[in-house]
Amino acid sequence: MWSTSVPCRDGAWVYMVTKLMDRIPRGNERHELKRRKGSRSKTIAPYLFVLPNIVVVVLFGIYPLVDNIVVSLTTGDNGWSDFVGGDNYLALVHDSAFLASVRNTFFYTLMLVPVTVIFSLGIAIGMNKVTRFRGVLRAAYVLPYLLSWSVSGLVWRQMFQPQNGIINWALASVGLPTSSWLLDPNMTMVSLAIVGIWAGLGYYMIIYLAGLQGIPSNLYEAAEIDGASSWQQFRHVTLPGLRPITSLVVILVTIASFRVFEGIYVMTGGGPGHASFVLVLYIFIKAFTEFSLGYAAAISCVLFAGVMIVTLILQRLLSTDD
Amino acid sequence: MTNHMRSIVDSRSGSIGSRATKIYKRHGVLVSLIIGALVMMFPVLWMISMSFQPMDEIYARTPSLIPRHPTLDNFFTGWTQGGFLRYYVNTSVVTTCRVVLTVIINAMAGFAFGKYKFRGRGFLFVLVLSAMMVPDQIRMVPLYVMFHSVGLVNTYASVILPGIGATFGTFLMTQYVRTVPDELLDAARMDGCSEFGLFRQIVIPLVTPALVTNVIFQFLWGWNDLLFPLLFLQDQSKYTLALALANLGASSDLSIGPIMAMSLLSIIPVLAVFFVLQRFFVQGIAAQGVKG
Repeated sequence: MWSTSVPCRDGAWVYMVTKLMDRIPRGNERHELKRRKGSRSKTIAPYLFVLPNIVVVVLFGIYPLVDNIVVSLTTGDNGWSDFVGGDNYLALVHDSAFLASVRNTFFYTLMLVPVTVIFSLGIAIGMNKVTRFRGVLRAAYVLPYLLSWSVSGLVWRQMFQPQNGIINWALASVGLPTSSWLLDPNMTMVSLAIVGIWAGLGYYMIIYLAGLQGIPSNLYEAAEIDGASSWQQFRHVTLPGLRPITSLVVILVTIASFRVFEGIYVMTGGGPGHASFVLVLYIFIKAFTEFSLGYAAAISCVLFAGVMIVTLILQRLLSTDD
Repeated sequence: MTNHMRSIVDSRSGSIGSRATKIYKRHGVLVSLIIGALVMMFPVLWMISMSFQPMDEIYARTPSLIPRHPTLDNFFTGWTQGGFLRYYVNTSVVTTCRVVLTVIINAMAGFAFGKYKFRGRGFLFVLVLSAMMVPDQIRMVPLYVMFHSVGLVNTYASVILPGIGATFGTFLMTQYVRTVPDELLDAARMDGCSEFGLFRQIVIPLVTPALVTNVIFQFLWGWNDLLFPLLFLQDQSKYTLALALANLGASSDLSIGPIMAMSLLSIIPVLAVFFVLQRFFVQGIAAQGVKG
């Protein structure tokens, strides 16, 4: 009953891309449509039922996207009257804060994706093995996902305090070197990534757990009969069986990392200096503190293009039917 | 490994030594998972602990994991000085509106997509999926421009409207509505039931689990939303909990103790919903990975 349902906006995006790519080589599409025509409903009822949903989609989903492109070609002050063409985009190339944001966003993504995938997979495999305390453990891992960025950001900021934060206290008490974490320009993105990983781990763990339960147990039985060690079973049954899930998780974490913002806003606000500027934070600062709406819209368009391109590339790279 | 598998493994392991290793191994997994769970929970436990600590204890050189002199001062200070009652009410209003609107329009659309064949159905479905796949963060500027031009900035509407979900729930409902047997609907039509009557009297009662799942997620996202309040709300009297906390963290109006206490109070509704309805929540996330 849960088949093909993809909750969360990113999930829908992935589903979309998959469907569109499925669509391209198929030739019998037209035929299918014709067949469908036969049993078509005569009433206008379905249109009335979808109307509110479609209105929301068009008004708050599609229109803003188009408008984003329009605004990005102006200074953003008086609509079309101050059309500047591609100037906003050209200015980006020389904007060091923008380039820092791009670098930091990529750095954050590169830290988050592998660690999240490995840990959520590892925890899911462990969870699948234990029989006791399963519900409690699962709740503990999902707990961080339930908190708003304000709450988790404030708690972590306090824990990361160089002077009286509990992390430095713990490190010092076992003789390990301490750090200024969020306040150290070299450590701030790493610290933020730790929080990002912590926040999402439980969510992806549950996705993996569902995937593990989808692997037929007779595959393991067959492997067992063939004398496969548990490592070999993991390597040749579990990992291939989880491949579609892994590509989904990689794409979801990548998109989530590209749009990271709220937590960073609460914990560092972009500082120290530009050390934790990421793209969405830069859009926010440009639009809502400097009121350069056109410029901010241009960055949004670049980010959107980036999300699309990277998703398509990942989709191709991780595609299971090769 | 399934239980069935495990019994095969157990029956095969002959010697006592290898059995001991196996028991150790299984407990090893459990122990590591428990350690991991404690690490994951630690920030929340630490927040709870700090909420009950007097100021000098929070700023002491040696932190106390369990408050040595537990106090409720932080809660009183935060609640009275911070004006949290107001934020609580605001958050409840905004979240309730978001949840109700979203769940209703998603269920209606899901019914149409799942049970009718109509011209443009495929196109509209792709439209639903494609439009909302754009992260909220990318639509910040145009949404602001839009709300500014119609005078909605600094109103609850500016936080509620873009927060209405039109993808996740629609998807969920479409899948679930498909499980309702056509014969049931046809029989009701024969009895003279209107199309809306079908939706209200037959479909809705049969898809309650999906409705609950949708409510939980919309509630979670609505309650925790920081983005839209941050962008659109200006008057402090209109702040939601997430925005109020974020701003208090950035200012020095309240010290960390009361902030932690208020953070703790702010997550109670979400935790309550989660622990009561965990099953639906987990199914909702799990559904994401199951394709077929």
